[in-house]
Amino acid sequence: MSTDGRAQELRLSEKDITAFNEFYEGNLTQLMAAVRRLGAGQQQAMNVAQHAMVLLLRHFPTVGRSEGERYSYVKLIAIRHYYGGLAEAEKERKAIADADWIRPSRSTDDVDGERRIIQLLERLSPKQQAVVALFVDGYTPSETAALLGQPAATVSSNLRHGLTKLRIYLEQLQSQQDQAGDQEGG
Amino acid sequence: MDDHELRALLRHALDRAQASALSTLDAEIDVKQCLRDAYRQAGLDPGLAEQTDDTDRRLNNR
Repeated sequence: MSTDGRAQELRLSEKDITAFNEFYEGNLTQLMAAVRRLGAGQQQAMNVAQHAMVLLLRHFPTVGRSEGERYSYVKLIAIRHYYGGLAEAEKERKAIADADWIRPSRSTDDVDGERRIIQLLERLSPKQQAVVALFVDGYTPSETAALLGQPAATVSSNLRHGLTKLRIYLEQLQSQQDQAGDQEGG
Repeated sequence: MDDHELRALLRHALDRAQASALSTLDAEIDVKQCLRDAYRQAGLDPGLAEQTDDTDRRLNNR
């Protein structure tokens, strides 16, 4: 197969195309999973990851030489793109919010602890959720601010409110689980 | 619960969820088709998605 005219315009060599294909096939789902970690749904994660990969393709000859450098590039693009599109997601989330969704199920108490925590995270606003996920990954507020192109004060505020809400949700959950245990015991 | 403990709790849950998501995505996503779409979105020939090391070797051996 020969490179077509438009690839020539982008100055993609045969070697670049082969390297991009290998990178894409080896990293697409990992990138999607990383975006989902920030709070995105599957289709949203697909769109964001694809956007980052297309940008990588367009700039492939000039973006990094190693797989690690290329992955850092697409992850940065994906995080920024996801965070930048959160205003609409936030409106949707508010529209479908269900205030009394915490209903501890006695049958799954022991097997589903992680899922419950994820559900607690999903109660945060999308921007709080993304900032908290980056905090969990070890980013400081100032690093997160630089990563997202946001004022440090905004990031710190989102993080502080997000963590406060999580503590309250965790206390509520613990209290409901204690009550369910008391009823079972009594 | 201080920030450090909360972070550890969340990290454990997120790591597990990410591993689970990755496993699901690996099973559900047609990566080759997505790759063709990426070339299309970049304004390139989707057929370039089929180029592999083997293609390279054949081209280099001409």
